[in-house]
Amino acid sequence: MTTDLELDPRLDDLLRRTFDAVADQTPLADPGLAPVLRLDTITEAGRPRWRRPLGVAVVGSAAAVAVAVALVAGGPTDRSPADRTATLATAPPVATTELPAEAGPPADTTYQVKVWEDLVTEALAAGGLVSDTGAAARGWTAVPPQPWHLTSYMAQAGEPGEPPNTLIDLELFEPGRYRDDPVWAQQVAGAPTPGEAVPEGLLFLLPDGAGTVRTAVVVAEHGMAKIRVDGDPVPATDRLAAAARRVAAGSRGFDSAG
Amino acid sequence: MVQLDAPPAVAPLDALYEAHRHRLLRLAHLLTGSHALAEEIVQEAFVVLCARPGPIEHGPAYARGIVVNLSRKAQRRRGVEERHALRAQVLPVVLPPELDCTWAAVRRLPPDQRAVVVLRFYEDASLQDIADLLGHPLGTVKSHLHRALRKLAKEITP
Repeated sequence: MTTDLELDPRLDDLLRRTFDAVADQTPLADPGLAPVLRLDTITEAGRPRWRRPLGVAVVGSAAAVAVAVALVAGGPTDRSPADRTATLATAPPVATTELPAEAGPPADTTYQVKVWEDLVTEALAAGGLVSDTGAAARGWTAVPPQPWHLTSYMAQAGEPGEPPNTLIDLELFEPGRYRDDPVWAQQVAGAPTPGEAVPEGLLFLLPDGAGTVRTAVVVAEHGMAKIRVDGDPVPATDRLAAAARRVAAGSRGFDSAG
Repeated sequence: MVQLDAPPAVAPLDALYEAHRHRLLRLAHLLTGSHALAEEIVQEAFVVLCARPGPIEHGPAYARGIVVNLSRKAQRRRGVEERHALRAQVLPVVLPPELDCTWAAVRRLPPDQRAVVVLRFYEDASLQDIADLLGHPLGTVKSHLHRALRKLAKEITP
């Protein structure tokens, strides 16, 4: 079926030269500043404790020193104080996120932070009562279900008069679906066996190309909650993480009402 | 084999990162058309590898699979995000006119077709490998490739 087209020498040559040329122009960060992935802190003594909220993986990129922090902030399913103490005891003495100087000052007091925290609060207040229609009325945009059984809610926040610079994104699955879907299981957690490698409550803080942490993703009960700040100023990492956790916790209501 | 469940195993994953990050970044760039998105995808792929329990066999191939799947997902998601005026950063790529035309045509392909073309002509992957990587039947991959090449031929060749 494809043989005739695959063997078109001109098209073959064009594609190969194009891909090589584009790939050669892919900016590459300084490998000397590449992240150091601290697996022990992510997995608590090396192995994740499934279905328990566990940690925060902060993986820096070029300009940021990557740190994996065993965090005890709690999540959708909280842990006992004893567990938290144990985590602290086993965690390496890395408790802060090292952001590059160019990341700018923390923006805890800015209006922008307040706006998106208010938005999260509003969404959570709607909780289990919110329907697709209600979500839209509250500024959440329901994206039609996708073939992979995903319903996504998106909301934005920003300063008055400015383009929205924060995306709050809920990716919700039908109950039980993502654990049954090997493609999603692999995409979300690289799990060869669906359902075994998606530790609920796990929080990822992902920096952008400049090493600034702008994205927080939390594995929720039936999906993923993601907050991404596209503009400046960038909120402090702990505020970003806390908001993502709150969205994840609130996603149960969305899911059950959807 | 990369052993992930003991402290000394940190080094192998670091080594995997050092050895393959650039290649994965290029692949993600070709699949998504966005360097910024590619950076995020590769980072996320390694976070996924970190979170995965037990040893990882065929680490480079496994990482490549994650990057390909995340890139396909990102492409689907980008359509949604663009409707919300949140566009992924696209750095300009300067190419000769002929290649620029080809690159533009590739970027217009649907995610699955684009993935097949990139894997076939950049990674030199066999059709069976592509089918395994994407989780599609071989016939579906052939169909994607056929349709993609037909579109490209129509757009590129005079």
